[in-house]
Amino acid sequence: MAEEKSQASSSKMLTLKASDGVLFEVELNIAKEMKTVQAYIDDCEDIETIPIPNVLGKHLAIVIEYIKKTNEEYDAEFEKQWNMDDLQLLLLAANYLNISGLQECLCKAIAKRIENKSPEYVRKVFNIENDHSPEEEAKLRKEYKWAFEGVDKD
Amino acid sequence: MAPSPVFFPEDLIGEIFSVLPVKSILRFRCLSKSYDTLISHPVFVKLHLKKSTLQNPQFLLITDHDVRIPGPGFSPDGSDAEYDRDRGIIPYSIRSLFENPSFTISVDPFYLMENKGCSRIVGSCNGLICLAGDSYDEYQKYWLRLWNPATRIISPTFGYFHEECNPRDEDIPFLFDGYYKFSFGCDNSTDTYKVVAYRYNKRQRRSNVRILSLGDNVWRDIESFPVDPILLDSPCQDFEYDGLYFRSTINWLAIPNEIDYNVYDTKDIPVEQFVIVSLDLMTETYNRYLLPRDFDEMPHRIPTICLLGDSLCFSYFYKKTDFIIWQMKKFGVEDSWTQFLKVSCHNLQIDDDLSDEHFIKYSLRLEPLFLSEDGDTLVLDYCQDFQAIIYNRRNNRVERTNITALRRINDDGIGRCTSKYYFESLVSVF
Repeated sequence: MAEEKSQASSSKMLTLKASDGVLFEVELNIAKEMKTVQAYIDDCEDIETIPIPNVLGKHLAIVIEYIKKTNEEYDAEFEKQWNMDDLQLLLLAANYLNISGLQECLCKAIAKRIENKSPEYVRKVFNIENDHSPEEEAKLRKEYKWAFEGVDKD
Repeated sequence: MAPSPVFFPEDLIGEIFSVLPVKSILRFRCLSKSYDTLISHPVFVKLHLKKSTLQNPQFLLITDHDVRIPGPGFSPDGSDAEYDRDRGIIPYSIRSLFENPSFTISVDPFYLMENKGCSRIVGSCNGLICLAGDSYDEYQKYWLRLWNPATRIISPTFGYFHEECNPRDEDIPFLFDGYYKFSFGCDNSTDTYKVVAYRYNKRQRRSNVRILSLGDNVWRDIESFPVDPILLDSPCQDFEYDGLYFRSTINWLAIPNEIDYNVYDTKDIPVEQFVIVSLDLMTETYNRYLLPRDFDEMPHRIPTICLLGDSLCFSYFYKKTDFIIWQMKKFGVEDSWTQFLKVSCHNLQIDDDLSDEHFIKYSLRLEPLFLSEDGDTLVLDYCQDFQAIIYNRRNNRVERTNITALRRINDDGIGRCTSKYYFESLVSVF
């Protein structure tokens, strides 16, 4: 199989295959920002298609775009376009692919969206089951009464 | 909102929560038992602490004001009212200072010292503020309290000690041992918070220094200072010359006590005698560091040390025309002193003030407070009233801030002593 090898490794292309079969052709230096992919390449040198089983094509596209464009301005506007579900799935993708800059950006974005919310709201966001007894919860709410002031209405 | 099917590993949850403000985190203790455990865990507290310095750096505005106590006769014009002094400690965010340099903050009674039984602000470290109280009658009595304003928890008093001597004899030097001052810091190798108490003992003609570790709460005497901190024997708290906490050490600008000096008249002070005395909280021993070699002329005001951009710095006015800041790039390495900034008073827009000799002698004070992460924006504390200077090094722009603190109860304006760098944390006061 004839392979296109070029002098500079940065122009070498790699194919990433998302969980739903969508294929993305990316430059090697972009793919290397994903430390998980880098590790894959280190293990199997002449691989051309790398499977990304945990990430949907929709989200992989967003991740790749982030890597290409990331800078202070882009990051500041980046998170505003996505709803909470997408933010969470993107964070899982960034975590799996081991992209620290994106992971940090998304953690801050999610934190910002829950900062002023009630526990009920946040439980829904993270699918948390409340296993506090009513007495325990009442005790905490009383102890930190001031922390519940000014919270957004659900 | 439909429940999300996403499952997050615990370390990702921790990472999200570690950038939340303390108020939100404490509210989320209600989420569930496992979240409560995660939030209360020392590993998480440490992670949050680390992020807090970058996420939301703040200042503590230390205010000083008169408290009016209505007189016993309740005279209608209030002429029999008495006044007492009280201090307040109000956190405010550096970000909001940049966004709006002139703003008003409300002094909630929560932030006042009067209800905490303490009169002194010793210092802040890792989001904890150490307070001290004193009383002088037949004995000098001292006690401490630790306060975390973000979690709103204050410890009981601890570290009580008293000295058997009559303060009224302070005019008879050989009988009076001196008043204690305090400093606060953390031995990061063991996460042990320590308070240092020190004074100049005229009778013994040396300093007395003792340390208390939180936890065992016993005062232990240690060696005297090898060189005495500036204004060691002054009875007042001079914030400028307080011990400066930095990386498990407490640092003071010092000059041998044999040298007679006057803070207001510095021309006779031999400049080469200045050193930095550094108390290592891990070993409880001292180090001495020389100042930059190029510092060879005594300014009109005694220089100060401070923290900027994670380095120990040394700053002073040069010939009344410039303000200079040196940075010790590698802590403890005297060769690493680098001149960080030399800016003219004209560019700082304070040269008019410097034409007044009286002002220079008694009121002039410029303290570097904060440096932005990109190194471009410097915030400086200026003089006694509510003014800080925001100076942009790149484009030489200056902005003066005007912060007004109102007392919530009766809206009286308040004077300000100083500002100190601070950040929120979940660290426990016990």
